Amino acid sequence: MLKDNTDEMKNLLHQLKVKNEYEQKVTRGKLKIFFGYAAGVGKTYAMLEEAQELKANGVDVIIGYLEPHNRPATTAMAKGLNCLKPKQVEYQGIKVNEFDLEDALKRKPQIILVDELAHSNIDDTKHSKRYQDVEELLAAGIDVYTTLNVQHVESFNDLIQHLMKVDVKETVPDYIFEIASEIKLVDIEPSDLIMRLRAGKVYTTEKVDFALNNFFQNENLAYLRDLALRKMTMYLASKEGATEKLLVCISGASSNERVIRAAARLAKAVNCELIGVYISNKDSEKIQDERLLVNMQLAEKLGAHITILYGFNKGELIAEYAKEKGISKIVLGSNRSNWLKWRDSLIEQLNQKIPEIDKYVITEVKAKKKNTLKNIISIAFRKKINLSDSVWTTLILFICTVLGIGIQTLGSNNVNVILIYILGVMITALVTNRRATSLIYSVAMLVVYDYIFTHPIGSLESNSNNILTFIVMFIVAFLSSTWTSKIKKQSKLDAKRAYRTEILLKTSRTLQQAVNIKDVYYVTGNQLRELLKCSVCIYPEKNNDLGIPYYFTDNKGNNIEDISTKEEKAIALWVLRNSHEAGFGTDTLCKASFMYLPITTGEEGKTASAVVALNIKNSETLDPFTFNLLTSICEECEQAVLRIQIREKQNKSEMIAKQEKLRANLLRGISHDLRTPLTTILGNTDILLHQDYTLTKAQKTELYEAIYSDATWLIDLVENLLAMTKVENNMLKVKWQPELVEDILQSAIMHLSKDAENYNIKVKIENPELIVKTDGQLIVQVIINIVNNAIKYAPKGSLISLKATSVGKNMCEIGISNDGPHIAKEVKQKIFDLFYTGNTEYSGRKGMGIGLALCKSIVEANGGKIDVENLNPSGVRFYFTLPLWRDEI
Amino acid sequence: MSETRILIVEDDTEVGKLISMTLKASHYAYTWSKDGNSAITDFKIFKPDIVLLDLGLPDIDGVEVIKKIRINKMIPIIVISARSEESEKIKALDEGADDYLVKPFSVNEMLARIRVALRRLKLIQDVDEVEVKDYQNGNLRIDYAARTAYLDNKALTLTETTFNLLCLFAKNTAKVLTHGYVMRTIWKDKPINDTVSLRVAIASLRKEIEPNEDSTKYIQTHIGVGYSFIQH
Repeated sequence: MLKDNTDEMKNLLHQLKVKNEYEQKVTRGKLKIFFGYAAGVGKTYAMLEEAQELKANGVDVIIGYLEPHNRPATTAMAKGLNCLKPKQVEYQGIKVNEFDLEDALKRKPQIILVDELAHSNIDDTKHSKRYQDVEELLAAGIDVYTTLNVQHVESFNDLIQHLMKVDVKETVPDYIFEIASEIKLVDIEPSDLIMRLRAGKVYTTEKVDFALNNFFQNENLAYLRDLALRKMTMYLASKEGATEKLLVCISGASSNERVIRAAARLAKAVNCELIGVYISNKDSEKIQDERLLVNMQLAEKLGAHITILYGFNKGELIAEYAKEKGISKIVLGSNRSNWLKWRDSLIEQLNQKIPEIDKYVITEVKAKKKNTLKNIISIAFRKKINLSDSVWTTLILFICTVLGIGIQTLGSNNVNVILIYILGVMITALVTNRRATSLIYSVAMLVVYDYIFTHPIGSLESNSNNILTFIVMFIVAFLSSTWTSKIKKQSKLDAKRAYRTEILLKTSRTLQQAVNIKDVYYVTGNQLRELLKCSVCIYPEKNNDLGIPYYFTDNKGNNIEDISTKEEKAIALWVLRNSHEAGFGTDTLCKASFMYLPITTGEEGKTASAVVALNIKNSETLDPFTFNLLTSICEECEQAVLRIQIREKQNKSEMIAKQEKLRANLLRGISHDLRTPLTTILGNTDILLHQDYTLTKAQKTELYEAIYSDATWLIDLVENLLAMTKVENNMLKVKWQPELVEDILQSAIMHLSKDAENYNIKVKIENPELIVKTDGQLIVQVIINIVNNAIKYAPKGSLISLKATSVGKNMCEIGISNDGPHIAKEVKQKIFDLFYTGNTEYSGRKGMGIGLALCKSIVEANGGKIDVENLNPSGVRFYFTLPLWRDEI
Repeated sequence: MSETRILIVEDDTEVGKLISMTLKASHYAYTWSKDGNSAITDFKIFKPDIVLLDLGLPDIDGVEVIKKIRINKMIPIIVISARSEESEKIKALDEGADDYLVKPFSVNEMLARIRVALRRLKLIQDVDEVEVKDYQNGNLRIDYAARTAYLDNKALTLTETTFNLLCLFAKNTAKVLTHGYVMRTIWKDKPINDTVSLRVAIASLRKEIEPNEDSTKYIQTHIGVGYSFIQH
């Protein structure tokens, strides 16, 4: 029976493994892209052709959506294939057909055909782009066939725009190529394409001429074809997996876009991981520069991972970061026309600090400069000097002047007055926030100085000798104020960095202490609430669905109830299933009131292990700094969850290993010890059967008794073994019942061995209403074992007493004392060990050393403790505790 | 009195032989069916006074056999179960079996159970003859009309629930009542697994009818199964 269990277990484990593998294979659908360099090369046709073939082979393939181009050959090819009905969407008063994602998900075919991957959805309530629809289909385990033209690839966007003077608005991010499991290049000669166009196979005749004169020029097509082939080559190369890292510097310049795209192309070409770095020296928490945000989003779309570094010394920051992250290539922009030429010095700096890393410099073409003046004015307006700044400036200037007059009347030199003014400018830079105030101070200072301290006093006219003094004074004042404010900014940045580090440290420290997943979510939720000052809600995953959420309401008591609406819950569920962020502030379902972020721990395409919902709509909008922190905290949370999951898995496998070992030991012990009684039973019955006539009646009785006692011994053993398997099986899913102690003791006494009749067994229960929380049958077995043990050792006719008392508020103690010989100290330590059989006077017949070991595991599984003590003057007392029943409401 | 007739339903040959030999030695008349369907037929033909029913039968579920023969007969059924058929045993008791034996059992124990069952049979027949009468068991007496119980002629102080419980036991003397059955009968409004009330009631009933350690025991515990009332 035990062996059966082991086999069963192994079987189960195997099945589980197979099932897991199966599920992993099934979860994500495969994406196949039919990739071409222009419209009309025959992508859709090729896709339909393949679909027909699959259909003929009995594959469940349907058309999700086809662009209505009215090409007769294509329409003919689509015949016979099942087609989803497109949904109708109103757009500026016109009814437009659109791909119906919900219907496709409901229908859940094996393969679905969705034309034009780059399409932008008109109805963007769920996804704004078709490729997002496709991603969801893939996540749902549906294979997708789609078509794509090279001009829609994000990283080629600027090249195409630049060389062909066409503005392509619909783009597909490059990572689509990474998730595609197959890309089929559909290619024809450009001259053939033009012929086809002329024949009216691509567009209707009215459009043909226009197309031929614009987009479909021979050199254009040749160029596009070249790009398509290049992309295909890169795709094939990237299949080998990224090994190197490429860093690109992001700035707020409009020309930076070109640098980013170039870097992305380079990264793809040489198969690198792309990392975008922005160096911020802003002290305000928000990055307001819209251009910068656009550039960052672009980099992200091109597959870059973005990091923001804070500080002034760009060279040092980049070098440090590159060393730390093992960057092998750096791409930076260079602006030749910049008269300060710091960028070139940046390259020199990098050359000195990290000569081993390749550096690529992209010359940034100066964007049209016409907005410079406007920019400066707008910046000045944006940074309006506020009242407190002007009050401070005036006040400091006034104090300096008063001090200057004071010093002068004391007969001091004018140089001291100048020094005081310069001290004033430094203080101004410290207490005010804008550089303009220092500048104003400097100018005002000169005027006042000229007016009050130089001849002629009381006039702005001045001696020409003083002009040099003025100039030097102004430069010193301005430079020192610049340095002061720089130092001030740096210290602010340092403080911010420290704040960030502190939050992350605190998070990871508290997460380290978390012992279960619930703790992890609790810590994460609290930290996020602290950071964002908004309500947070975390949904743990449960059976591929949303579990019971943990709420972390902010002190404003903002309406967290909003989250339990049906729509919001549906979004949370979507995020959980697709492991992709959604909701407010993201690209997907952005009309929601909450932002939803997944906590993913498994491989890609698997269900997330939790969803974090943030009520940031009511608080301030997220700036990249906070968002960075937010994702870092989520990552910490992911790590912690992963750690705990691994630990749990380990514990489980350790426990299984332990049980396996126990089973093996048990099997060995049993097969050895069962032989002895079986041999005597067999031998004795053999004698009785065959030599009956030679035996006296007394001899026969002796043999019968021997058989009887051996059989009883076997029964005891089997009872214990059964109890043992029950304990083992029950360990994890026990359902304890209330039991009267009296019931337990009475039951035990009824099932004692036959020899019990020869003893005086007394039961005493302190309170007949004692109810314990236990598995009654197992505890009865404990008492039977202990009393039978006592019967074995104590002299016949002696007293065996059972006593139940309550100990403290929560426990009940059951003691069983007998009049047997004392137990030696060294025996006492091992008496509850498995297979310990005491001093082996008649080894093998006393028992296998299962009884007391079983008692121990049963009592401990019940939440109690068992021990033994010697009594004075003679006797031994075994005692164990059990938890009292408490009404758990 | 005519000879007691016992139907043995047991598929294992050796155990069947042992039981039949024992019954023969104790001068009972018996018939031995080896599966459920023949047991149902034999029951109709043989008209036994007691049925010994093994739960693990090759053809149909032992519980099904009970359902078939229990329809309008009050014949005591003693089920025999292996240790692994615990839940089956409780199901059988709930379906109307009176008592149970767990393998391995000694033949003496089996004979004792048969004697208890016979006494119960007699009791039921007596009750059938005279309508509602006072209940007498050892020193315990219940006056149904006055809703009072007496021990050694001293009235006991029982609550409504405890008295109902005592009556339930009295009515089913020598029959094993499962926790579920008692809960369903006495605590209709409580969930069936909330057995704490049952334990408390048992403790207070015991305090009244078994006041001392040496007093006659009436309530017998069947751990994990239920309770039975001993006939003295």
